Amino acid sequence: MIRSKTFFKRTRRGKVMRILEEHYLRDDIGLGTLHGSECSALTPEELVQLMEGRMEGGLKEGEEGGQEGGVKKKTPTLSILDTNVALEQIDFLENAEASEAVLGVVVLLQTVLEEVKGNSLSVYRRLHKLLLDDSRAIVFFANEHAAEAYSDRLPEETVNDYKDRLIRLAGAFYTRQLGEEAGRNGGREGGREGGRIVLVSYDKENLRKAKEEDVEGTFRVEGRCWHEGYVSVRGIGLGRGGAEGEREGGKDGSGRASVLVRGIPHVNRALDGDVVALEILPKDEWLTGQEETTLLEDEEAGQASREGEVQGEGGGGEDDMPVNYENLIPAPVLDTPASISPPTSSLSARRKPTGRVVGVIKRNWRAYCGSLQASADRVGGGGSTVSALFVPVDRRLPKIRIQTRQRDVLQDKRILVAVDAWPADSRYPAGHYIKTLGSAGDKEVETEVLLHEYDIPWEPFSEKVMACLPPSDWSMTPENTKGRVDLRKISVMSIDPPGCKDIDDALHCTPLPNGNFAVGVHIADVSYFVQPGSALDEEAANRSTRQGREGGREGGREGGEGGRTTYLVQRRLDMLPKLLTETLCSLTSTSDHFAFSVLWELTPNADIVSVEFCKSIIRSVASLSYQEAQNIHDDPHAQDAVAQGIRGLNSLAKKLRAKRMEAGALMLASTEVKFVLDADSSDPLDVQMYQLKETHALVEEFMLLANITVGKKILRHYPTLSLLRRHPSPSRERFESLIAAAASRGFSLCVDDSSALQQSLDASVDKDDPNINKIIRILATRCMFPAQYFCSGECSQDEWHHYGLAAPIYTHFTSPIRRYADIVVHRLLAASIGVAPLPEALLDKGGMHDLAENMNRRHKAAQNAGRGSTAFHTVLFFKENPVEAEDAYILRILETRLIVLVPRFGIEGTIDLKGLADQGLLNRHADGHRITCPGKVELKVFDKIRVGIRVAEGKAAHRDAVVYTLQSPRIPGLDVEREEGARNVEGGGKKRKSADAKKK
Amino acid sequence: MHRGAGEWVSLAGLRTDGRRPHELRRVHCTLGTYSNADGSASLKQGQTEVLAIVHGPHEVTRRSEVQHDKCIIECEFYRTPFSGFDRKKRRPTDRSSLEASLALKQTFETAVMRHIYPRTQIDIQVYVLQSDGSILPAAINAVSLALVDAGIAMKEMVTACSVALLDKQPVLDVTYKEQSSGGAYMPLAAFPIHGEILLIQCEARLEGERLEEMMLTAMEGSRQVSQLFQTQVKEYTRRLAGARLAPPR
Repeated sequence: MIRSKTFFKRTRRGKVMRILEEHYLRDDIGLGTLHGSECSALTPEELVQLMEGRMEGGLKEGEEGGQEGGVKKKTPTLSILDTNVALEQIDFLENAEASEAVLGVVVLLQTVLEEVKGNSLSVYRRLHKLLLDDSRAIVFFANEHAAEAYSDRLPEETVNDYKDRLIRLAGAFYTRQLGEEAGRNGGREGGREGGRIVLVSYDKENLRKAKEEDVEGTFRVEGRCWHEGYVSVRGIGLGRGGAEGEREGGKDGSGRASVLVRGIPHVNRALDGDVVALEILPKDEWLTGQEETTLLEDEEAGQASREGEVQGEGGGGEDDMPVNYENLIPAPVLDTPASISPPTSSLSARRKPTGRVVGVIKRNWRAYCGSLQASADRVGGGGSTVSALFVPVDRRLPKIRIQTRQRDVLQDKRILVAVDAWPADSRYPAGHYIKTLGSAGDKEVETEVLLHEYDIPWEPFSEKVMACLPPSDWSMTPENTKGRVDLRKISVMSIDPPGCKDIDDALHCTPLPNGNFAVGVHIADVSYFVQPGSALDEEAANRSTRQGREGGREGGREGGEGGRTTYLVQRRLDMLPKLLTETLCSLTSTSDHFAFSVLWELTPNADIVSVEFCKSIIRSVASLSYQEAQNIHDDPHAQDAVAQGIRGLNSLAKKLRAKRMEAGALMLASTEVKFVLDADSSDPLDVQMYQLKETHALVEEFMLLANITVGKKILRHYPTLSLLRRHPSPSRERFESLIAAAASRGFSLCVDDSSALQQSLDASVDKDDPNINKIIRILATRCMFPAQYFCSGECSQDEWHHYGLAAPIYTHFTSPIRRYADIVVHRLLAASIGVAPLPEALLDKGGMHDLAENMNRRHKAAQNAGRGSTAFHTVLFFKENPVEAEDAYILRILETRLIVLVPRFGIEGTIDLKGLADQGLLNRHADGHRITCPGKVELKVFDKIRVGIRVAEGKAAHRDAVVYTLQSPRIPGLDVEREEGARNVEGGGKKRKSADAKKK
Repeated sequence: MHRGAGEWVSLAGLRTDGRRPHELRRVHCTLGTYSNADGSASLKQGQTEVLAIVHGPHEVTRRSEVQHDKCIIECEFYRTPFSGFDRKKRRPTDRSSLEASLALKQTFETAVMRHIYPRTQIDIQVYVLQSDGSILPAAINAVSLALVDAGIAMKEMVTACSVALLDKQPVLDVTYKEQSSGGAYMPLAAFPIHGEILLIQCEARLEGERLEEMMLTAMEGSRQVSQLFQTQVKEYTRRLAGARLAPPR
């Protein structure tokens, strides 16, 4: 790497000289050289060895005083000297014994040596001699030529500051290098730290800066404003002072801390997902949760008006531009403690680490979907280039300014835009148009937008993938059935939603002579057809999950676990090609199938006597829908094997469930919505919440049992390589506001553990209104962390716990057609029962980690896309079918808004009271659970009200939004009609957002 | 073994700009930069920047100088006023420029196969656009490339490199700062493949064995340059050939 230095210098006589110099940065000087042996650069290992050698050879007295206990064990030390230390302590340095005991290995930097030379030639000579002394461990490091430790001088930096900074950079470089080395040697050295690195300086300012050096992390916008977000950084930099309480142990549990970045100047043109360099602000500038909430609202309003001015696009109602597009992104507002807890909560008053973006290290720009903002100044006729504002679908992004000649053409379209740059003096980033997806509002187009925004692979399978499929006339032969247990004589049945084409599980239950039951769960043997490492396998691993309309079956399945394949309302994206999902693997009753079976012997009390795993061949005798199964179960005349099986299963399932509940499994609720679609136009005809039948629970119980049993089995054989699923215990903080809200209605929630929570949830019943209990459950669900896949080797055992199911170990085994995790678990299980070797890829812990990460990511994206799709269809539905008045419940009361849930449709929305608030007519009680409106109307959390629902046409960027209006109780001054098209539009977008926090 | 480890070569074995003693500066060359000439090349060696232009072979301008069995070579060496650290107008007739043009002339009279071009003349002009030491070697290298561009036959492509004795060891491709340090400075031009030395200048007093060492080092340097040029020239030729084969637009 080369840095050219061309600069002008004035000589003493006042003549101007032009200095031409080059400055080469190298990557081959390692960590410096010893004793002037100019060609051998030290490697980190050598340096660590040197440090350790010095430690043993050094003095035995514990210089560090009381820190060491009985055993005197010094940490190997590396000291980097500052110039003034080298200058003034040369006598000490020359004393070999003393300096080595205190400083360990000494590093003299080029910068330091040159500064010394400038100051005192005699000290320089003495240092020089020391450096050449073979008996001393003094390393010379040409830091100004080391690519990784050099930086250019900043424009306003003085020479001294620059030199100091170079010294600090070198220190950081050593820390980095030796840190890596220590990490690598962690195991070998028995967990001992690689050593410590000390920067020895007189200069307090320099030390302070060394500790506060910029930290790096990825900028993530949470919430709805692009100019507020968090950067997750490793706990460095914060370690000093008082960051004790701020660590968020929860989210990913890796000791990373979230640093708040807020405000346009501080975000400094970073976009969501960018890797940024961050400066931690001094502690007294940290923001508290409280300031945050108020600031949030102020700022939003402030920005709105400012923006209006900047654009100068007059016209009524223009000032709501920045917020009135519908939120298709269910941004996890509830994730941030600030917005979940009312300002009175003592916890939220705690200051959070706050930072400022000082530079963007890596841009993470992609093409963004969205539409153009409608503009008032219609220049007649196209042709001339005009600038237009592009509003991304993703709320976490700012608007983008593009230049276009066809603004009128693009006006009503969904388009893709790329960001080119964000000049320092511009409010918005500049971008350019890429392509048109189609008309805004069109179902197909909007779905495509969702797929694009959530990065969901939706292309058809490639030829390479299709080539991995077995021939379509594939059939069983004696060869390929070798080693399989023939279970065709057992009457196996499957129970699925009506019309399900990819049946991946089947069950059987037969009474045994000794009074016990033989129960089997048979899962489609997908891993037989998907060879590890093949193109098909890789494609499936990449997709990881299926998106499909019929995913509904899983809605109630797995109860608290909610292992739901999310779905797009009217489109389906398979993880595997159709031939596999619908013909070869689907356990239909029309042909024999390969299955992976788990066979138990259960006592009538549902205790497990024995368990067996085998690859098998089965023949389903009946593919039932839930309703059919229910009918057979209830029909006293049906006495055949199927009916007996269902009854046996049902009685066992009830007992299993009771046991699970006893252990503390949670019964939670969610606002899952189902659309009844018109067969031809696929317009939504009706919205309803899922209805659960007893047979749902039946299947679910056995799937849970199978998953848990398999989880235990694979873990026994592969303690560090198993793919499991965990669900962290929720943190109490997240529950604070819910506990307070429930308390206001006289319910006390206990969140100490899952069974206590379950009991208190069960107790929170309003006798007059069963919906209240459901709402509390919904809210409780949202306080949970999401469940996630992980590799058993990367977490300690106590983190494996699945909170929602109260199971110490859980995995996914039962849906290999829809989830890739299940295929992996199938392979693990096959290896642990010895029928197939474990594929190479699964033997690598790192690979497993990446796999689990990808599955978690895809899973989340699929969920979000599903929600986005639901939100879009909700709008479509209410556009056609506005509702005059419907029961609703108040979930939360904010300063100017009510958040309500409509149980009939299972949707959530916002009622805006801003008009009243502006007139000062609202009085929100300090606890945040009551609000008094004019006309002596008092509204409380969980109050039942009636709302009207309709769709208002969004002004900005063609986002129609669902609008909720308060119909009863009537509040004088809240003019329903006045709100037409005005500010309330935002509400519609909010309805699904917080579901993100929901566990899953 | 550690040598001086002093002012010019540090303890880590690095020179003031971060190079090791036997490393060249970054060399960047372009052929055919100046379209009005028969051949041209610009060369950037570190911060030293040189443009060489070749006209010819053409009819000899002064009849009296015609040689019947070979061509004559005329060299002009210009140092642009803005090239140095201070702005100073230099005439092409000042001593150092004359000396340089003479050195160039002698070098290329040996290198060019002059008998192929009887009764003709080849003009070489060199402009120093920016100077950061080792100007003469840079000029020779640039002319060599320009001659290749002009398609003039040479026995071998001449390459040059400078060497200086700093802290008692030879260092290659000397910068201005190093050149003015007072150590012995020595430009050398050679046929790197034949190992034949065409030009060597040294104004300092040296021990005999040091001279030997420096010459070997400088030869090594010119070999490095030559390797670099060969790839550059090949690539340039390939591009020209490609342009010719491409269908007309």
